[in-house]
Amino acid sequence: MQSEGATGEGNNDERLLQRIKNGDFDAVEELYNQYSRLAFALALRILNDPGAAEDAVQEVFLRVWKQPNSYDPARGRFPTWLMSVVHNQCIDQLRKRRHQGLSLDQEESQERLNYLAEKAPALEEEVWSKMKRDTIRKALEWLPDEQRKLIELAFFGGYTHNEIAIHTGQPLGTVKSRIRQGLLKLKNILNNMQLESSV
Amino acid sequence: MLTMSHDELQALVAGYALGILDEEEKKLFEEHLPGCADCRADLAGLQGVADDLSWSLDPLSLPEGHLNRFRDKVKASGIQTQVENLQAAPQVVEPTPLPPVNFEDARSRRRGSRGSGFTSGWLVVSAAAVLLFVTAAVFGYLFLDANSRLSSQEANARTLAALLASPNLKVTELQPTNSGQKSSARLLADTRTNQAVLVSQDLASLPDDKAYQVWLIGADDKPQSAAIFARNDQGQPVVVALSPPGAINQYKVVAITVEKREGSTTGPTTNPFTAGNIS
Repeated sequence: MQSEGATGEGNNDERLLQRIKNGDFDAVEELYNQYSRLAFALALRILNDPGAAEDAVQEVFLRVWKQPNSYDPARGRFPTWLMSVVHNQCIDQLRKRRHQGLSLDQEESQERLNYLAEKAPALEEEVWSKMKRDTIRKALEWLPDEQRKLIELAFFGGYTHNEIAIHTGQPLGTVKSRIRQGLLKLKNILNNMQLESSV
Repeated sequence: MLTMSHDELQALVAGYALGILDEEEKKLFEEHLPGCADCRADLAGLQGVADDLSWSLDPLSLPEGHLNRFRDKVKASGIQTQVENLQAAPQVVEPTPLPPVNFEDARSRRRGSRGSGFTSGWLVVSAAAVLLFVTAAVFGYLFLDANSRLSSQEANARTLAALLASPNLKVTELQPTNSGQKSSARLLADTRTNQAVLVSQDLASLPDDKAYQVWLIGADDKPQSAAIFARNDQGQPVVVALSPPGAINQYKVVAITVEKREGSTTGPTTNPFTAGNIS
C-alpha cells in the first residue's frame, strides 16, 4: 500500500514534478490529492482556522504549479520540502496576525476542536505514514515535559525564542538551551528507534 | 547592529531548524553558516528532526469543496494548463463514447453467482474483467479516434487510463432499481488521487431538455452532485469523469437520476434509475 511520504513515492513525485513543468495540471492535482491532507493538518494546527489553513495549503500548491523549480532537492525529498514550505507559510501568516494584535489564545479554539471532531481522517489508513506518526509521537512523549512544550510552542506556535521566554517566564538562555537539548534528544530517540529522520 | 559570538550563533541552530528565529537572528545566522563547518554539521543533524515534527499529525480532510476552490485559484492565476476541464462541479461534461462492449456477459455472471446483492469479493473478481474490457475499449477508442475528439473527451479517457493503471482502483457496480431496465454502469475510483469515472452503457434516450446527473451520497445521506452528462448518441458506452465534492472514500452510495438538462442544484428531483454501494 502506498502512503503519504512512503519511500516508494519518491520517484513518483519526481515524475509528477516533471509533468508539472510540462504544464500538466493533472500532475499537480495528484500531488495535491496525495499530500494536502497532511499539509492541512499542519496548517490547521498552526493557524487554528480551517479556512485560513486551506488557503495556506492551496497557496503552497499553487506555488508548486506556478514555480515547480522552486522545489530544491537539496532540501530533502519533495514531501519534506513541501511541509517545510507549508510550515513557513503558516508561521508567516501567524506572525502577521499577531502583529495585528489578535489574541492567539482566544482564537476559535473551540471551533477548531469541533472541526477536528467532525473531520476524522480518511478511512483507509496508510500503514507507513501511521507507523512514522506513531514513532514520532512516542519519541515526543519520551522528552521531558519542559523540552517538549517549548519545542511545540516553537514549531506549532511559531513563537520566537524571545516570545517563548516572555510567554513562559523562563530566561532566554534557558529557552534556547532546552529547545536545542530537546531536539538533540529527539534525534537520539528516533535514531535508537531506527527511524529515518528524513522522509 | 547585533553581533554574536560563535557559541551564541550555535545556540540558534535549533531555532533555525524550527524556523522560529526573528529576522535579525536569521540574517546573522545565515551569514555565519557558510563559513562554519560546526554549525553546518549541527544544522544537518537537527533539520531532519525538526522536519519530522510535521509528520506527527494525523492527516485531515480539507473542508468540503476544497478541490474546486483550488482549481478556481489555478484558473485565476492565469497559468495555462494542458487540461481544459478545470470547472467547478456541477457541470455538464462531455461523455466519451466507446466501442460497444458486452455488458450482458457481466450481468449474466453477476446473476448466476450471487443474485441481486453486493459483495466485495465479487467486485474484486470483477475488477479484473472490468480492467480487461475497459482497457481494450479505451485504447481501441483512443487509437481510432484520438485526433477527432474534443479535448474534454480526451481528458475523460486520460482520467480513465490513469485509473486503470492505479493500484488503488476501486470498482462499484451500479444496479438498475427496477428489473425492466437494461442499462449498466460502473464507478471506477482511485481513493488516493480522488479521481473517479463512471462507465455506462445502454442508457435510455432522453429528450433534449433532460440530462443524467450522478450523485454521491455520504454518511449524512445528502446526495452531492458529481457530474451531469447528456445522453450520448447511438447508445454506445460512455465515460464520464466525476468531480467528487469530497474525498471519494467518504461516500457510501453512487446513484444516477434524470434531471433537467442543466442539472439540479437542490438534490435529485426524480428517483434514481440505477445505484450502487461503494465498497
